[in-house]
Amino acid sequence: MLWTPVNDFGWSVDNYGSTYTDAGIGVSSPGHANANTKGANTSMLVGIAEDCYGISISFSGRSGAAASQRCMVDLLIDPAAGVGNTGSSWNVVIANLFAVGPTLGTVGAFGYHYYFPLYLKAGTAIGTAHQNNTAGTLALRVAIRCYGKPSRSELMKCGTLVQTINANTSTTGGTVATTPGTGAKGSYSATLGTLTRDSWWWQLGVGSTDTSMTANGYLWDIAANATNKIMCAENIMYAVVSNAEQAGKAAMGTNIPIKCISSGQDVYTRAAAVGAPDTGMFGIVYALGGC
Amino acid sequence: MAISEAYANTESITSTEWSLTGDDNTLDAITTDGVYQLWLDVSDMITGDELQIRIYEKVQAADTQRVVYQSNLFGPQSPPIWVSPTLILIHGWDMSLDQIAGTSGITVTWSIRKVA
Repeated sequence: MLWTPVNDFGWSVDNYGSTYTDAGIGVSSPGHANANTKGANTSMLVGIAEDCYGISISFSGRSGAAASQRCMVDLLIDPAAGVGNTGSSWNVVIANLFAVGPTLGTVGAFGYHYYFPLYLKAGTAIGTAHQNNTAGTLALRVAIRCYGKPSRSELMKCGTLVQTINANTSTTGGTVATTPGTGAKGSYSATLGTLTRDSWWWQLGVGSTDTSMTANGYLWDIAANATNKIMCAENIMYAVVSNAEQAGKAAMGTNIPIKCISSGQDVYTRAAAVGAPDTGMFGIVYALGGC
Repeated sequence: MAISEAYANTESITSTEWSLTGDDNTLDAITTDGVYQLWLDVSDMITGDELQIRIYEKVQAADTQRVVYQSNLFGPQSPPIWVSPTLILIHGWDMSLDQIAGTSGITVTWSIRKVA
C-alpha cells in the first residue's frame, strides 16, 4: 500500500483581535483623501515568528447605502523587518485585492475572503494599502492570518508570485465586464488578460458598479485557455444581502482552486445568479505561481 | 545496494535539541554517504506536545550545515509512527528532535535506515 500522509499546520498568527464584528475584526486600513489612490501603508502583522505557508486575507466594514464602495488593497511585505518588528520598507506581494461593500455580521454577509498558499519567510512583516472609488480616508477592516509549522512540509506546494488580472486602479474596479446568467451560468467574459507566468492557484475578486445592489446569490467560475475554457476555480460564492450595498465572498468554491495553467494562456470568468444580477459586474483574477 | 539500520536508539526528548546520530545534545556532521530515511515511534505524544524534527546537511563539503527538512508534530499522533522522506546525504548530515511545547519529556524511539 502506498502510504500517503497528510499535512496540517501547527502554528498560525493573526490580527483578528477578539471582536468579531463588521468594524471590529482585524485592523483598519484607511483609504486616501483622493478617490482611486492608495492610502497610507498600514501595518497588519509584525515580523512573523515562523515561515508562512498560507495566508488568509479578509475584508469587512466598508459599505454604504446607495453607494458602490469598491476597495482595492495592495498586500505589502517587509521581508527584512525581523521577528516581532513593524515593517518599514514595503514591497507589494499581491496587488489590488478587490472587495465591494465588504461586510461581516449582517445576516448573509460573511466577509470578503481570500486564501493564498503563499510562502513568506519568518521575520517578514505584513501590511496593506487601501484605495477606494470614494474619496476620503475611509476605514476598511483587514483581517489576516498566516499559517506555518507544517507537519509535512514536503507535501506543501507554495507559491511566491501573484499576478492580478483585470484590475483597473483608475476606477477601483474591473476593465472587462462579466454578465452573470440568471438561474444558469452566463457566457464567459472576453479575455481578462494573459498569464505572464505558469500559475496553479486561483482566487477571484467579484464586484459591480451598481449603487443599488439587489439581494442575490452568485456562483463564479474562473477558466483559462481561449478554446477549451479549462476550469481553474468553480462556484465561488458571492452574496449581496440587502439593498444597503453589502456583500460577502468566499475564498473558494466547490473545489480546491488548483489548476496548472501555462504562461501565455488567457483567463476568463463567468457566473450564475439566482435572480437578476447587479449591473456593471466584473471579476478580477489572482493567479499564484512561482515556487 | 545493501539496506541497513545505521542508527537506532530511544530517548526522552526535552527542550534541548537531540542528535539522533550521536544520541546526545550536540549536532554531528556525518559524512557516511547513503540514502537515508528516519523512522520515529511518537506514540508517547499527548495533547499540548510539540515535537520538532529536523534533518541537516551541507550542499557541498565545504559549506555550512543547514536545515534541509523540518516537520513539527502536535499532540497525539495517528498513525503513531512517523516516517521522513528519503534523502541522499553525503557531506555532513544529522537528524534531530526537539520538544518545543508540552510537559517536559517525550519518549521517542528512532531508527535511521540506510541504503548504500
